[in-house]
Amino acid sequence: MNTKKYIYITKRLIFIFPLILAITVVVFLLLNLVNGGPIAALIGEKPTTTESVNNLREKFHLNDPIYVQYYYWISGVAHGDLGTSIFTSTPVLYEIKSRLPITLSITFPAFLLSIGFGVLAGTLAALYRGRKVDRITVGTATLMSSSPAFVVAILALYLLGLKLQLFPIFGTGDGGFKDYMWHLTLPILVVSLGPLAFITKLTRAAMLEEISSDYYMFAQARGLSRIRIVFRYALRNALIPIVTASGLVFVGLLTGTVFVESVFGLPGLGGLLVSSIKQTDIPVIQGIVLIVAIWIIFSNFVVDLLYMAIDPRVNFDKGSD
Amino acid sequence: MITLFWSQIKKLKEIPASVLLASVTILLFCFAAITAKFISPIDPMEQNLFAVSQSSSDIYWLGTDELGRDVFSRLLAGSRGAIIGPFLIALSGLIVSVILGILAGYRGGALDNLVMRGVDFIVALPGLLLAIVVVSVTEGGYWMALLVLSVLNVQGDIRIVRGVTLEQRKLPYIESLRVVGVPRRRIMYKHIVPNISPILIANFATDFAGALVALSGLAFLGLGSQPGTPDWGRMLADGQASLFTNYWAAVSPAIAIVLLAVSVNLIGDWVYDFYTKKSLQR
Repeated sequence: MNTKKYIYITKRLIFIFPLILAITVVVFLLLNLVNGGPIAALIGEKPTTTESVNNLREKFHLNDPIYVQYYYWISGVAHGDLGTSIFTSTPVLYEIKSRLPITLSITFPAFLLSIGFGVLAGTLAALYRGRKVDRITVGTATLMSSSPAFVVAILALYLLGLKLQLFPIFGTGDGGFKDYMWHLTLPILVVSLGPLAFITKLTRAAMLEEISSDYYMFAQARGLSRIRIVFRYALRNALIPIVTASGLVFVGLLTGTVFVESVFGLPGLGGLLVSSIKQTDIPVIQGIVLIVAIWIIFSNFVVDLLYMAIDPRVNFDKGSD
Repeated sequence: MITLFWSQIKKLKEIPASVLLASVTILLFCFAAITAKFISPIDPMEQNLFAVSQSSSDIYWLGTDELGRDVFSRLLAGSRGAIIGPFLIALSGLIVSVILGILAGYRGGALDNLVMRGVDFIVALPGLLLAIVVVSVTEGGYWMALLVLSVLNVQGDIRIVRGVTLEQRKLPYIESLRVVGVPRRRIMYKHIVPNISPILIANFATDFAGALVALSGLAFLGLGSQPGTPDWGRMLADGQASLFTNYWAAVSPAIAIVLLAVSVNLIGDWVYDFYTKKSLQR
């Protein structure tokens, strides 16, 4: 049994490499997708002379065939060299490193918030199926899952920030930790609403299935306490689809931060992406996409491992599905 | 099954009020999209620099934006793009998933493997993020946005359609058809398609709502639709500047996006429930 597990893990790990390779190719090709070709992308709005163009061609190996260019680029990436920003001339890796903490301090609490409250609300709705609690929960979840982060961000900014003046609406505060988190509170709430609704609906559906199963009725007939049945048995089974979906929640949160950071003027990874898109700063865009994609691949791998830990019935002989 | 579905629709009383309300909302938006040119009180492109960021008045029902354009007329004009784009994306998802999803689910084997590995690859990509990047880098505009979002959207549909096809395959009616000697293509498209049609409709609705949100999101970042075109996402982003003076410039497109997305999702959810209930009874 255990060797099967290890074989499965190894298989998943091996599957990761072609995936990362494919993504690096896509990211590398971004430079060539630019209107006017790579030279236009790299020069930006600087004045062009034949000499500067030739220098660029030399520096980025543009005279070589494309696979040689890729080789130079990927060996740079492998050494942590993601190039330099066209506009600020700082190394891309440094830019990303300095922006990452803000994005992490939004996504991490938002992740806990959406999973925690989502599971709680979904379980409550399932237990009180058809009653008022259920209908209100389902209604709110439907509304929230149809409301994209940028819409909620603007509405929250207006209502809670400008009208009621409950929350600060711009930047990261005076530098103290308390003020920092206070400035991030509204962005965290905004970005977690959609994933929260998603997890709520998912938990409700999964719990309803458990509640209607034989073992649940049997446990009830045996006179076990309701709390014990729900939290020890039913929820553990219902967690399986939730763990699988947590990878999606993570991607949703990352995408949400792109919008939320730009609405609330936060200098995170999303804000960096938006500003480098506006300036067509290709190396920065490449760096962000690469790092986010690899991050997502590894978190999906972790999800797979968790899935295995929770559900002993996982069939290791089959592939990913 | 499809006849059952339509007979259900005919019994209007059994349709929940929320779904009826959602249908009316969608019809209203469609009406606005078709007749916007004729019913909008003011030309949505007309700039009145003497009436910039005004709050709502008798002339400008929802006030004006930061260039003095009528928000209400722009909202009406924007409904066209908000319906056509998502419709095309959902339609491409429907067509591709019916062809590839049923084929992969029904025939299995190497083809199934190939399709599912392709699906796995797209799933691993950071969807909307990649769309944002590709559309911005290529400066491809609206059609590029539709293309990229269609490609990213289709994997979910293929996965679901393949799943329900696998379910249908095991049912006695398919076996009977095979015994009688009905050709494979006919089984797939004449018999399986009608039986999974509620799932196809539900998928279409989910795709539509998702595409509306994604397209508006791109427009919000200034990607996809051309600058100046009345687009809800763009209006939302531009309206942010007039929040102090005319909050309707930002709030009204926000409400429009959510209202249309919620309505479509409500109908999709209802059709999906209908499918699962019926298949449970079997």
